[in-house]
Amino acid sequence: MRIVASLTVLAVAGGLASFGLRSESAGPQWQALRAQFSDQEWARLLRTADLPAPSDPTNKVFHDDAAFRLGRALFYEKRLSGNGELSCASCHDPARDWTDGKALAVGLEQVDKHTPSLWNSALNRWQFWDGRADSLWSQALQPIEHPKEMGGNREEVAELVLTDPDLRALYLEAFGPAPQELSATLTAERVFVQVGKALAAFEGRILTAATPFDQFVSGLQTGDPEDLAALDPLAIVGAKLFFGEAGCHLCHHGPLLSDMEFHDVELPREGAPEPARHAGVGRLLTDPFNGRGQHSDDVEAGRERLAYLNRTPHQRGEWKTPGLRNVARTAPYMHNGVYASLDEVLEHYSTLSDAPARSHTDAKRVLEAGQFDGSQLQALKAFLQSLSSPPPPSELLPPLDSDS
Amino acid sequence: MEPPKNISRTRRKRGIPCRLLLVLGALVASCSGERQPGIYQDGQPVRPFTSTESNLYQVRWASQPHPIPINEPFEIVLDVLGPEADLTLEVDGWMPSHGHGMVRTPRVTPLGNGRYQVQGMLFHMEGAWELRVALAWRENLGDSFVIRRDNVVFEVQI
Ligand code: HEC
Ligand code: HEC
Repeated sequence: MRIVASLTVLAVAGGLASFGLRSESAGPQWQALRAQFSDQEWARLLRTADLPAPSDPTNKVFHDDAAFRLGRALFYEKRLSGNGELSCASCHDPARDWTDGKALAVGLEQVDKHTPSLWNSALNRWQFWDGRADSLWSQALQPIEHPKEMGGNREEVAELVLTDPDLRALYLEAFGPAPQELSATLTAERVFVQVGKALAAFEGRILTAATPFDQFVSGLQTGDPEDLAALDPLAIVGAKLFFGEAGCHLCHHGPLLSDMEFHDVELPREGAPEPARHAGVGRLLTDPFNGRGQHSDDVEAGRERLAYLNRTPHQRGEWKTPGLRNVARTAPYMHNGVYASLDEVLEHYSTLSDAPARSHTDAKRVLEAGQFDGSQLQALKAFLQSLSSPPPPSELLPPLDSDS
Repeated sequence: MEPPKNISRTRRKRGIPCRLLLVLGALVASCSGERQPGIYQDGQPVRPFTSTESNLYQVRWASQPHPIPINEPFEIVLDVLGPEADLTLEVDGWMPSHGHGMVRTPRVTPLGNGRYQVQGMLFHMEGAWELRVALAWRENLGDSFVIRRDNVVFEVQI
């Protein structure tokens, strides 16, 4: 088709322009690397650069320092829970890259999902494995009241924040005096939402710093030999597979190594696929705390986020593509924690031998068994390990006087 | 194939300069003096008129931004030429090799004169996409009517 051909040329030309470096001016090391990757692989590598700055118009205090300080205190505050023993950090432990090291989370009871890491969660398009929340602040309200997670409730949370001297001082700095004119119920709801927004201001700063892989990509842009040497040769082979032949980039792309959308990667299961994203969309649209609801600070922006969402049967069995930064440190893996190690994950992608039988009517064919040999598996693993950034800075750790 | 009839008077009057400009790769917008909402800058590449399956209509479009970015929202403006009718348009993206479509349902707003704005498009994966445009209209048959349907598919490499 002529039209297609000419547009492809345009697209490639546009991509080449952004390759940045003119090959004549680069050193031999860069030349050798450039020759190693196809144009498409190269463009995909460069698209991982520059983690965007998070923002959330539906949360006025998202960038506010006072809200951050309140959020930090709340994140480590066990009294938000029904039994006074669980904080957000009980499951999202900063010493474990904001996760719990368990296959399935355990709060007041065992939860049927694996705890995701909070690294870069502020950059997610949707929160939760099924994407049932559209902001960090609306997300944060759910575990507090979830009977199996923290088992708290908004009335007690509001009461705690408004009466505990330390929390109250932080609250006043962030939000000013609590509304007087409202009924007790409305006040509780208002303060509960503010708790969510403060937690989001804290989580908004849980961002990964540059990794050896990022330094390498920066070298691809500048030609700097030191940067180019940041990635070891095995990881470079892994990167080539990841962004090429192995097709991982189809879903894991961009700075987060995630398309931020939902797919079925054919994990082992019994019976029909779970409702997953299909149910997630339904819950998102009816969530009273979504971005277009009365508690949003920018209803218009919230509407825009939800405006075009669709809900289709094929979303059953589809879970959110996790970002892969720091993935080597956040085992176990997947929404149900089914794989204990990266080796097991890669084995799955390689053989799909544990995948449920595909039905003839199933039109999904994104995933093919990669049939990786031993050295390819090692290379992919080395690449995933190169995505590890330094541990969280102390400003994100518990305040010194906290006992969590 | 019959040359398409222009949908409206205005379009017919301006038909010739428009087509000339198209040949130059310039934008539809530059044909009309004043700026209308959703019409893009001069020089923006336009996917040329392509016939629908029944050959009744001709459809062309341009994206904003261009080229279509991976996994970021974009808009398109569509022009439809053909017999006068109260058209309803549906636009969707599809990945034939993966057997799935977009994660969103875009919104189509008629801008008049056979022009439509499509908001909320998102191609979340790299690869071969189809931009599918479905047209539907009512055809009156004396005291009853039938719904007619037509479509055109554009291939887009992301
Ligand atoms: C009992 C363990 C537990 C506690 C306590 C807990 N979480 Fe979680 N968190 C999880 C699990 C499990 C999920 C995934 C649930 C799902 O997707 O259905 C999750 C998901 C999240 C996500 C979404 C991340 C993503 O990538 O989708 C965020 C953000 C988050 N939690 C923040 C918090 C905050 C803030 C608190 C405290 C108010 C908290 N969590 C308390 C276990 C916990
Ligand atoms: C079709 C889209 C798709 C492709 C292709 C794909 N992934 Fe994934 N990946 C996902 C999704 C979705 C999940 C989460 C699945 C779940 O929990 O049910 C995931 C999970 C993972 C995880 C676990 C992350 C975590 O924190 O739990 C790793 C590691 C991973 N993928 C690596 C890869 C590698 C390596 C490849 C290429 C061999 C690849 N993926 C190909 C969509 C994809």
